[in-house]
Amino acid sequence: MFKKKTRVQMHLKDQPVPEGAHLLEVDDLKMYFHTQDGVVKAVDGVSYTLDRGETLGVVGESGSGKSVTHLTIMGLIDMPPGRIEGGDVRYRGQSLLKMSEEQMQDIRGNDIAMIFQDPMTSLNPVYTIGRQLGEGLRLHRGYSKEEALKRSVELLDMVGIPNPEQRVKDYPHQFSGGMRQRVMIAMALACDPDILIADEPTTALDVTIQAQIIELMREMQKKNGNAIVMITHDLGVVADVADKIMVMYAGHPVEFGTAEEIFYNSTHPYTWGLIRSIPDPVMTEKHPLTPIKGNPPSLVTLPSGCAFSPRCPYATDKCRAERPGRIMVGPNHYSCCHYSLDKDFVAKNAPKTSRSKAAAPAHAEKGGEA
Amino acid sequence: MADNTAQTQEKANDENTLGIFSAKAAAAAVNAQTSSRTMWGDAWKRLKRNKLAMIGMIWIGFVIVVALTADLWVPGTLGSPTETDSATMAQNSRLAPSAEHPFGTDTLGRDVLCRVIYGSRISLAVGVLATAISTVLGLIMGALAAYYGGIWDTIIMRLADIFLAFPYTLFVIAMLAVIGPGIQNVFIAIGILGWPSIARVFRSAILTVKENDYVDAARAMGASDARIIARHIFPNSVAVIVVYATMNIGSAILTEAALSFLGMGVQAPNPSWGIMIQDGATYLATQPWLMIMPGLAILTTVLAFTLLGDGLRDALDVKMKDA
Amino acid sequence: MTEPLLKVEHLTKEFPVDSSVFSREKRKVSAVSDVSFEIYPGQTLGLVGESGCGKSTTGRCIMRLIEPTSGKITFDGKDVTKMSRKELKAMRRDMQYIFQDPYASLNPRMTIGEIVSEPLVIHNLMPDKVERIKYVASLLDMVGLNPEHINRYPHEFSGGQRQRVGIARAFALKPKLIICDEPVSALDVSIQAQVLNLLADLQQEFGTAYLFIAHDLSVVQHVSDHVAVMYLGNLMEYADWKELYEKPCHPYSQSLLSAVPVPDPDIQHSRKRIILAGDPPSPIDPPSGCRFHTRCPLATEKCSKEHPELRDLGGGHFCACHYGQPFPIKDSSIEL
Repeated sequence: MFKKKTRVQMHLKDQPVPEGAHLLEVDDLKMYFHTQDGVVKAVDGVSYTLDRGETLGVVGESGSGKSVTHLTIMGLIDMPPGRIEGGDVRYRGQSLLKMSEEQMQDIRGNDIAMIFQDPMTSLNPVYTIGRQLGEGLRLHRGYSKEEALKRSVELLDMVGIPNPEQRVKDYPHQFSGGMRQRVMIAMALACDPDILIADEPTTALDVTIQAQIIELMREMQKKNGNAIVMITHDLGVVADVADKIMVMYAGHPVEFGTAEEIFYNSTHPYTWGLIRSIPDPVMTEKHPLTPIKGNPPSLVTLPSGCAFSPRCPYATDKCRAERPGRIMVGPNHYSCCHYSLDKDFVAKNAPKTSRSKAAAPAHAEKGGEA
Repeated sequence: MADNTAQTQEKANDENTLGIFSAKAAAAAVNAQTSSRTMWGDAWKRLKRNKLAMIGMIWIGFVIVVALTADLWVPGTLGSPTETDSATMAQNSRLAPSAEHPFGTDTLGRDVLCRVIYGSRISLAVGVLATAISTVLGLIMGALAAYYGGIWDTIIMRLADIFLAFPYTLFVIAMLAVIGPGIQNVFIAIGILGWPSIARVFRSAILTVKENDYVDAARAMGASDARIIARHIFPNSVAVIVVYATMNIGSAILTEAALSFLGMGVQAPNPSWGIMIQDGATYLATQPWLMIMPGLAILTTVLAFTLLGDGLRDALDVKMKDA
Repeated sequence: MTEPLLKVEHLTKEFPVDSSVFSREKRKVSAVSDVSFEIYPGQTLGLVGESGCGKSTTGRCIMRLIEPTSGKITFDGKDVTKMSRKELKAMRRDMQYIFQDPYASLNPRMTIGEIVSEPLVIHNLMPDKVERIKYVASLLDMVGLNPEHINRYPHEFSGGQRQRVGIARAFALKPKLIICDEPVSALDVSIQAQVLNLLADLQQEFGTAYLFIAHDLSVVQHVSDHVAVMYLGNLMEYADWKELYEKPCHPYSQSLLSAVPVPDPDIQHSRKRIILAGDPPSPIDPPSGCRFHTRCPLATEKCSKEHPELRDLGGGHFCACHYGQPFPIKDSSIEL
């Protein structure tokens, strides 16, 4: 009888993480696009580590390289025009950049899964949801058709889709946007991956649905213990889910720290700008918002010195001349601003938070808010 | 308090967004506007950077120039494309390519290069005129279908479906059988039968463009239907037609060649690439140039139109970078 | 009291749905049903709701981009629904529209100079070309774009800059009312704030009224004088912005408010959040009674049977809930 070739093998994710290593280590990753117009330094020195059960928030404006970094990690960038210019990505101690396309295919979906912003275009309209959900299982796990379908029903049930036995036979257009994103999450979690990379998973959704999806991702993480990388342009979205946060600007990480550090002790003016630009729902009087002025720079012709200096309200001549290196503000907290260690500068200019307000004398509270 | 100062400072920095408008900037804007850019100018700039498209265009230009000026120099150097000198016919018959006859001679002793050059007139004329007829018909039908919709759309598109359901070449032959062979009829037959595909392409282009918010934006400004069609819908849907028509010229040339090969098109002794291939087919084993030379002419010209069409597609795409 | 600039009364819009060949019954989507509100000169009404709640349809009906099924729309003392083509053109000088998608709303074949001057050309104002260019350049400058870029095409700009072009175009005729249809939803948060400030500054300068449509309550709060909350074609709540934030009465408004993410983990962890279950039901077959009852955490028997009318709670606060009382969400949740 004809037997379909299956690729059941020893998976990387079943191997222990080597001593002293992390689940995922991104080490000074550099990926440039070589285009007609010049070299686009889309990813320029990104480093972070991630362990099981952790959530990393990657925050930045469009064009900051936050998505491209993770497409590079997944091996989903076309080379050329892209080219790895340096650095490494290690998953359980093994370099992903050195793997063949075939090995990467085993990793993708099975060990590291990704969900995208647009749930409308990420699903193939001509196959049923059940078939698309089962595809990864049949490919990576060698499930039979019946097993895959059974598991698909379980997965749909797990992500909170009512009536899963019926819905598994439906096509993507029969699902709403929020439901499709649930299906995407189910699909990403089908093979029980170590790492789930979510690229703006809620941006295309309504606020009420956004809250549901974030809640679902947290529940799934609690259950499966996987790590999450949450890519977003809105710091508010990762406020209650991220353990660590990496703020990216023009292909660089400009600040990195725990969520606590980023929200309460951030020292980079770009991070401040991102926090300030979110409309404050706790508002008793009208006041203008505080946007980051200007637009993100072109990655072909980056400004000299600090890339953020043209948009930074505090930029000095030093900023315009000299590119700041990483300045350690805490044991695992760095910031790429010349003035990160200047306590007065930070205290004077950092946005007010619930903590700094609580610590401040009572009479200052009202004035500071308005 | 500190937060306030930061905000005022940022506000001050942002002030230039609402600042007093300088006379200098106005002058610069006026300058910029007068050195106006147009859709076609930009497309031309982009096209120039596409090597293959430029090769195609240069070749087409060369063929056109040669075809147009043929009467001035060809009869003097290469002889007549149609007349046969019976005295020298026997010794000149089917000579291999040489300095005197670069493409060789045919059975009747006529210079093949000379006939290829005169044949290009027919091929180009058929390509351009037939395509012009199909494009005009196609644009009208496509626009009617897309714009009025409803019953018009149904009638026109079903008609197009019927046309497209017949094998194209057979349809042309059948039509020629009714209206008779001959070069004018070839123009008409190819032209008339080519409209359905252009109509379809144009209709779907219009329907896509109509969905865009900028069409609604124009309506919200109070723009008339005529203005919306002229300024918004047409410029955004015409590019695809230009590309399609350019490529269609190539296929019309092929259709004419096929018809002439079958004896339905141009009649002897007039030269056309299709007739020449038919004449040469007999001698393919012994005197291959009789067939290869006109064959190459068809190949290069059709290829040139295809390359140009491809280049136009990229050049007319606004999303392509200008830098 | 001044006259309202725009008065919408019992606006209803139904779209026919392709009925199948075998059923005689004609089905329809009721996108907007019985919506009424007013906008005063120079003021902003925020219209909030999830996608598919009919908020954009309402905006398009007011502009007559689509024809309302019934209801009355009075703009500047004239009934918009009964206007002739000519009157409509004249009305569109005073009422402009800003679209959500900064990519689809600008004609890619026109330079931004041509785009911004188009309303002037259509209404035949400033026939002198140099004068017009100068004016357009000043508009570009006003919205924070470099006037020297007047000759560039939309694709050469980022999303935020394109939205500025859209704003310059809307302000070209100095209209009395601008319908802003989710003008910042497609933009990064940092750019959203720029555009919102710009809109607020321009309103101050020109006294333009806005109908500001959005799905994000926190964005709407920042720009609006009054806020109307829509759900599945119905108006659920209508109040002064401050009142709505401090004393949201409708459970739907409360859940919208609580869904807004706050960039402060302590607050985010401690506040009470109402996460609504499921999706909004289809408007083809809206639920009986209160349209929100299928997702409402507080729904009772009565809610599924009786349609709640908008009730006046006093002080210009209206709410369509059988039970809703203005209750201070502040104490339980968002307070710092």
